[in-house]
Amino acid sequence: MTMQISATAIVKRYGSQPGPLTRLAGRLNFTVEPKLVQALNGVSIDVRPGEVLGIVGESGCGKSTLGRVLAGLESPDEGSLTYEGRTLAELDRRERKTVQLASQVIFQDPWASLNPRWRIRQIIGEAPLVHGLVERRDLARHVTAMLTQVGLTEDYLDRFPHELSGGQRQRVGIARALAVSPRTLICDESVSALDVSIQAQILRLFRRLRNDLGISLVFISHDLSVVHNLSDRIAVMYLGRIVEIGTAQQIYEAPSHPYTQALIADAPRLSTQRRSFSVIRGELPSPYAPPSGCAFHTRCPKAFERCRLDVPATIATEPGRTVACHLYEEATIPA
Amino acid sequence: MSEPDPILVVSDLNVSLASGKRMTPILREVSFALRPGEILGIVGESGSGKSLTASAIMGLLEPPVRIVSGAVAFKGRDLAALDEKAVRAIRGNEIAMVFQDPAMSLNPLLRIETQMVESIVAHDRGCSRHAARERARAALETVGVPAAAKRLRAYPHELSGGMRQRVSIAIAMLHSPAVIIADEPTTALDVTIQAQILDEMTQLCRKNGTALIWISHDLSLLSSFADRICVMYAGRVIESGPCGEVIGAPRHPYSRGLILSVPAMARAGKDIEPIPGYPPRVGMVPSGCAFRPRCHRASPACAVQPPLQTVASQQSAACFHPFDDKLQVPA
Repeated sequence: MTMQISATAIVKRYGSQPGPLTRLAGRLNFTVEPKLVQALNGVSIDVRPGEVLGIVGESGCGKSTLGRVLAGLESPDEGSLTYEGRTLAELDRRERKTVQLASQVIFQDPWASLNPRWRIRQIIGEAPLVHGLVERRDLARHVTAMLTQVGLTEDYLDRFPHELSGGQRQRVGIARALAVSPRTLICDESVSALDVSIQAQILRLFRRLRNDLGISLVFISHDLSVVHNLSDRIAVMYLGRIVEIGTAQQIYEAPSHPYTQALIADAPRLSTQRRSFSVIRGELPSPYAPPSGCAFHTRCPKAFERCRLDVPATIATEPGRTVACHLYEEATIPA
Repeated sequence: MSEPDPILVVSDLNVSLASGKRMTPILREVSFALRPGEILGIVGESGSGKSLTASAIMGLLEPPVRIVSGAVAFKGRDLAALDEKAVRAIRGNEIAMVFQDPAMSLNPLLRIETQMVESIVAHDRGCSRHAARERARAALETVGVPAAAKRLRAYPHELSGGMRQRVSIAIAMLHSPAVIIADEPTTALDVTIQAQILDEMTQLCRKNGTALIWISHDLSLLSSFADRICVMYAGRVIESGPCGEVIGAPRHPYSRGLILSVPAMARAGKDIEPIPGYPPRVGMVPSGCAFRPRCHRASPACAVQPPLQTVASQQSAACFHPFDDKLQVPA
């Protein structure tokens, strides 16, 4: 099977711009270590054709950065990316454009991601026109078709974003992405800003688009219940690394990594009975100074000596399922 | 065992937005009662009036928004009728509030210690600064702030979001209030931190007998710890009752739709049942039952506002066509 997108050992660092003092120190021949955040620390993941891949994790885990790298909005510092089996370097300009258009992003904030001065017609129609995907005379028909696909009507063509509700705006954002016939939609917290009833409508729309158009979805969210509902497979991230990958059912019903277990135990669940929370204590460590060894060892109820020292390797425990935890390296399980 | 008398009774509260001569109602006939030590969850989507209800109780409404009619009775005294000075003696002291964004409720220019000591001395003039500092440290410890003495010297920006929220909870609890109103206090936090804070806060309230109003858009969250739940829609309480009943057997079609919209209610890989349409905007609320245009049970009768009436013991709903069957809620 050729993967839609395949990422191998991706590393992405962000550094702060050197301040005046740092620059002065540099001129005086002092070296100042630049403050670096390792947003992605050797992340490998495949997006299969037509699948919904969920990516979950708490703030600062690198899930949005991974989404931006997969979408081609950021280039990785290390590691390789292939689109349908080919790297961008192998492609000529035309092909590269096609590949880049094939991944589209849907952002979290439907208020910030639409140009407030443009009519919906222009917002959705710009990209396909600029990239020569439709003729100008067919544009209105194309935009209307896109609106219909996301559950809106041609009545919206000449409206401005401020005339729409949050849910309608998010639909316009999706229509804009669909207008260039993408193969992958990367949804970064695309339903997090919406009310529950509207969120349910948009989730339903995503599922329908995947079924009808056969596109892949990379669905990034902090909300495990949302990801679980939509995803075929789920990757769980913690401080720049993927700690576990499995099918939605495996992850939800039998999580392997202690962090995944905690995430599921702590997630609010609808219930008719009272329940207690809090299986893990402590704060998320700063991404500027991640803990040694396994980054989760400072909060992990099952941590032992080795977790402090060595970064756990990613090992396959079942076909299609990987986990990065010393507990699953048989030889190291403490007696 | 008879139930204790309610400590806070909101009755027929109407709040409007005045623009010129026009009054746009934004809260209508909101009524509920809170008993000592009880945890009441208020759930609703944006614009449902849940936060506004909190502001109205706290006397924090600013013109042009004002209370048109109704009463907020705390220990038998109508807060809406008291003057500002009398309200101030109660606010922060007997009724405290925790907001969603601790960055907004803490002063960024003052050390945590200064803010806490100030709050203690403001309500307890006899307290020396030294004793106040000691109380502040103890208060931080009870909400799970490690190295409390050190954190007292910190400025808000030096703390993480979770720690900042703990500080504002500690401030709210300083005077052992009878009621705490928490407006989405954990919404901005990560799941694992949310769980910690929820756990600590509800345990403290139960231990001290503090009544808690927890406002949230997240029904799943509320369902795990609230005693009773009020569901709001377009400025009105449309259903209220014991948590288990409202979640397990919602009567109002909107409550039911809200519960069925929770992703966990659909089996993985299955479609969620969304409510069609969008909630009305303020000032454009339909006449009669505001949910009527989105409701598949609506009939011509719904052109008149249905009253909030008892549908089962302790459970009431504002609907002419309430459901009476149970929902299958996964354990």
